Amino acid sequence: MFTLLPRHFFSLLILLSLAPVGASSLRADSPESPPLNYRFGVATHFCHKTPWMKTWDAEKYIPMIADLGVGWIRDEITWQDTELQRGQYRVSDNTRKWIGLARAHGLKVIVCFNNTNPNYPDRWDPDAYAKAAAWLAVELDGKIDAIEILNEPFGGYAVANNDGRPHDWTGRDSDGSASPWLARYLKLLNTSADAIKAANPRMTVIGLGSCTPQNYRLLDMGVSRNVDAITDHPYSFRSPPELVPHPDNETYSKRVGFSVADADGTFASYVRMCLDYSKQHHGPGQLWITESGYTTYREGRAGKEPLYSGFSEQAQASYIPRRLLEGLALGLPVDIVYDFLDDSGRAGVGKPGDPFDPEQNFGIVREGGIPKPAYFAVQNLARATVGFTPGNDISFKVFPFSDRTENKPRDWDGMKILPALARIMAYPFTDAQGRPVLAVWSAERINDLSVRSADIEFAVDPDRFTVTVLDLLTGVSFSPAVKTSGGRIMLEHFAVPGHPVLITLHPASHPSS
Amino acid sequence: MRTLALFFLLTLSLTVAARAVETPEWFAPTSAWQFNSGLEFPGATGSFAIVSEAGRAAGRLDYDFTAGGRYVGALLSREIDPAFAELRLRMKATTPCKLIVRLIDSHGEVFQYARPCPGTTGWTDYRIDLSQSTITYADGKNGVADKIIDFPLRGLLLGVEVRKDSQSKGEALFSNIELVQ
Repeated sequence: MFTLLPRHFFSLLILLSLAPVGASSLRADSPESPPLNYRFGVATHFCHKTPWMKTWDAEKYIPMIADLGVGWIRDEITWQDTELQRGQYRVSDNTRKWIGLARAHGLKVIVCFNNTNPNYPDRWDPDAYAKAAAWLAVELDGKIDAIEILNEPFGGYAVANNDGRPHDWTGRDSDGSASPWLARYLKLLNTSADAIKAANPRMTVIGLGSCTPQNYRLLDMGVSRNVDAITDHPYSFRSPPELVPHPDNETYSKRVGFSVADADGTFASYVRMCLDYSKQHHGPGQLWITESGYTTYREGRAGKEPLYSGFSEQAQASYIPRRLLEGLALGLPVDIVYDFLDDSGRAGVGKPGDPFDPEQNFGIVREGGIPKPAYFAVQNLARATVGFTPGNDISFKVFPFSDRTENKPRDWDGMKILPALARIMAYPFTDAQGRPVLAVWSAERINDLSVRSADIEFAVDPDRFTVTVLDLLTGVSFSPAVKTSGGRIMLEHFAVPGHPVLITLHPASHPSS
Repeated sequence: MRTLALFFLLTLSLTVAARAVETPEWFAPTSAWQFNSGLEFPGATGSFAIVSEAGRAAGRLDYDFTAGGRYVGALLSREIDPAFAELRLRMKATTPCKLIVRLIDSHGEVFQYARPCPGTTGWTDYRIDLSQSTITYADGKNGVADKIIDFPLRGLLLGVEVRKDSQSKGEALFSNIELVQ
């Protein structure tokens, strides 16, 4: 049943990644297909709202997404495409096609109802937008699962709605007051959520979707009870995935005025604090991550340094599962990877097919359907964690031997970029069969160092359990060396790589005592 | 006084009788920890205090190497008996550093163990296996250095070590000391 790790795993992975997959794979809703994991998803661009999105062929890629094992896609429907003429609504043939394909493959759909409508003097008229969104919620009832109110309103929406004043990610103007666009977006959000729920109470409504401090200011102002979840896009930009660029320190405090994470800027603290803050302000009880990811662009383009580091494909394959697994442990209901396919036709920033453009290279699949290593890593994770719930009742301890502290962090907006946590992350779960599982990985920057070691101890009777390990990058399972000592299980010098592994305790069939 | 000593020894014996027993009394407010500024490498300053961290007693070691020094620590001079095979504790520090643990045995031999500590807000668990070889030296001219730990121990030092010219300044917290037989 179990095999040893191939000696030349990455050679194997490269060979695998040269072969297109998916089009001939089993449909996810067929009895032979593995179940999809409805905690994870990928962002897609099947809406074809701009010409560069035409490379997103729904018939080709939706089967691949289902084969990936994730349960959600997030795509867009534009308001203008829905209401070509004032008061006359429609769903385009292309939209019906990709939504229908997604449903046929068992995928749930988040529709980001996005962009403006030039039929109205206020191109973001909240009442008109809400009316169109409510119509969509009825028209697509049973075909889509959630409507998100705009994509990243801190972008074009904020520019157009801030009275011509400059604005930034903190959400406050130079006098310390909240930027005007926030109140306008809040009206759009609340009006839309109320209208959607009135038309179709079953439709999930999600929104906010801005930089975290801006989301906090929106929560301060009072989010409608009809908004089911906060959305956020907590990219770690240049840091490993256990971090968000919001460390609680003096510089941050001066710029923002409050904290949204701990001093390390951990993703875990960001999630907990956001949910606590929302609860204190009677806001939504859920946080949905509707984008985060790692671009594999290459350095070399002249001009301003991009916000994102260009990550190796190996790092992408490690970081995405790390982020998704930590989100799962923290109870996030939905976590969407940006994005499924390289946006090679995207000409907004660089040239089409530009390997030096960050925005074109977030995909876990290259143009033409060639998977990057991250595709297989996400597939392993999605399939292995179906039915996982956070926590179990087994005590454990992890004793590291080494440190992977980064000693030369780069600059980030006036602060040192957040260095890798360097800790060994360990999150307990219970799997679908009720077995205790411990997910572990080293929260280090992917580098050329050999794998770290740690002693991992479980306070369980060794006679009552056997242990297996699943490597989520390689997909290889094996039985680790187990030392039993003092009535406990000890995995001495256990290899803890920079990508997650799952340690499962299997109840022994015939305990000796 | 003798009764008190007997009671103390009995309590300590009970705490190590099981396989692994937490010994929070080591960070009781009356614990006689003494700050050690690592005078062999002059320049470091700091202090040690017993604090409550998330409802649990802990030892807080403040350190400042901006004027030099390589390590600081806190020494608990007290008899530790019976023998144990492993010492465990949790630590976190605000800057990357090394945890140092010194055990002073009954013959004045010092056993020093070092482990890396990331400078983050999260705790790291440490396991000091006494069967592993490590640096030892005689504590004073009457101490022996035979690389054999002779119980009862005379004392325990918990400290922070930094690389040369680190200039770091921060605080470390120690908690959850366990002795494993």
